[in-house]
Amino acid sequence: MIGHESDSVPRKKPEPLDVGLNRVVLEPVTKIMRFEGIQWEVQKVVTGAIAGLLFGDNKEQKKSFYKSAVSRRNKETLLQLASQVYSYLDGTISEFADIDDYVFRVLTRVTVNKTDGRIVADPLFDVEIYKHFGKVSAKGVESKEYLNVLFIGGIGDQFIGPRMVKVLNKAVQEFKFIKFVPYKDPRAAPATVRTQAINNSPTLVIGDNAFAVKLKAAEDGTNFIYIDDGGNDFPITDEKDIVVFLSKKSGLKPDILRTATAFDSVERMDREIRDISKTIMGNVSEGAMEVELIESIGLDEAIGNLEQSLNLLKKRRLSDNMVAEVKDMERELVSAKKDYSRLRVDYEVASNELSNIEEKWKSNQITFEQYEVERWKILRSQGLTREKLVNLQANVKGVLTSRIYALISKPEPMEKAK
Amino acid sequence: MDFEITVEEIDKLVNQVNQAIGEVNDVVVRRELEFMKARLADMRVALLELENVEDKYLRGDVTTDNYFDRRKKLVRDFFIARDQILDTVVPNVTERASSSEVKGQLIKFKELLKDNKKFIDAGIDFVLTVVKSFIVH
Repeated sequence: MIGHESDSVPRKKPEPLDVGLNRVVLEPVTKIMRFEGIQWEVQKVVTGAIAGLLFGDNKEQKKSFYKSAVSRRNKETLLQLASQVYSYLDGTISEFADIDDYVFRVLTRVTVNKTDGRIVADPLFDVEIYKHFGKVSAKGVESKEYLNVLFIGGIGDQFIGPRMVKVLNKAVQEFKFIKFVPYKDPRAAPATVRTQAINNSPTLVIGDNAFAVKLKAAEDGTNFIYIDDGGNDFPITDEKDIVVFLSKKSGLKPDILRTATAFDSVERMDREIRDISKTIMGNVSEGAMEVELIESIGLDEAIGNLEQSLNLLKKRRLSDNMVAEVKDMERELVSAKKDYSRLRVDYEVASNELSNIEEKWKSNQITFEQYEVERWKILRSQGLTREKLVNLQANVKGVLTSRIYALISKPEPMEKAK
Repeated sequence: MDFEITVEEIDKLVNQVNQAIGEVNDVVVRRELEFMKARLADMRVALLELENVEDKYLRGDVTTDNYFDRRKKLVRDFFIARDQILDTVVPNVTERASSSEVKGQLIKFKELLKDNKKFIDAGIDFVLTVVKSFIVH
């Protein structure tokens, strides 16, 4: 799997939180796993955390706890929790994704009786969802890694230069997550890159694999470029070929890679994604949070620009078909605008609710449990809103923008002869 | 939760809008100002209701769930009314302006009105700019 977040970064184990009445709150986190493993992993980490709380390192006592009546009752509760996780995931990702493209980490929160280890309140959960490429959680895009593609040109390989660079650049446009670095001369490249160059051939490096790019004479006497794929020739005749080759070698599906905003430069996307992840990681205050997210999404500006483009288009002479298409676009834009207003309000309401419940808890107007239940409810709904905003952004900046620009680029109809 | 806006401040802004309605000659702009006044009234009602619900909750007259539910609806009403002013009134009034300079001045208020802290001051400035731009002497 390329680019998914490594599981090796150790997480800080949270201390059990004593909430009085002989109860503690535990927050066990599962490892990253496939969809089918969720139920088993949730059982394992929660039961393990409870046993650890009660008996520390005493293996014998832990063993007998796993077989106890309390543990069996806990398992029933955890089964319900796992089914909630499954139904949540069904609602969140199954509509647009192949479940095999994803892995998950479940974060749980269980309130446990300190004496006998009984789970005393409904457990809560959150799920981090990882795609094959980059890290996409239920709350939005958190981080992203690139597939590194290097192209190392050989000395004197003039034939390969502009054309190869052109097709690779085209490929980069196709796959938004490819970072393409061309080196015209291996001697000018960093040492790590130089070692990947194959003999004196121009070399295409995809991830960790290097492929020589060569020239061959065809039967009709013309020369053609091909990639030496372990003895198999992969001819490059146009842009599509290189896209196919990159896709084949990286194992990345174009439809997954294209979920990010189209038409934006990689730098801008980086900034947007950083901003979104900042809000997720809670590095900014809640007040600034919704402003930053809404601003980083940039939908106000995008919708405004599209409205302006449509208005300009309407001033041109248009065929009947185009008039109908413009009207169609206008309808879609109005609907996107409405969705955006609604989601923006939803997001702000959630932020407001969060500060309110915190205030209520701090002033002892609600109990810790009430605070926690409300907070998780709000966070979950805010996470969904955030995801809808990101999807709307992709729709407006991608699909709608491309359709409107396609309309703009159509030539004006010829005037009918009188 | 403090909204950074009080009922008294909204009243002050409504007074300003009332005066502007009487002074502006453009029918469309006047209609937009009336729409703004109606939305300010919505915000005012939401704030008063919020105070009321809060009070009832503190006295124990409503359950916690009920309180959270009602509060959420009122907060939503408040933000929807505010957003209608910045999403509808500001662009529609801006469109009526004759010069690009005035248009530039007016559209800036869309950003300023988003911030609750600046809402009242920006609202008053907006109304004053509208009056200045749409009065025919």
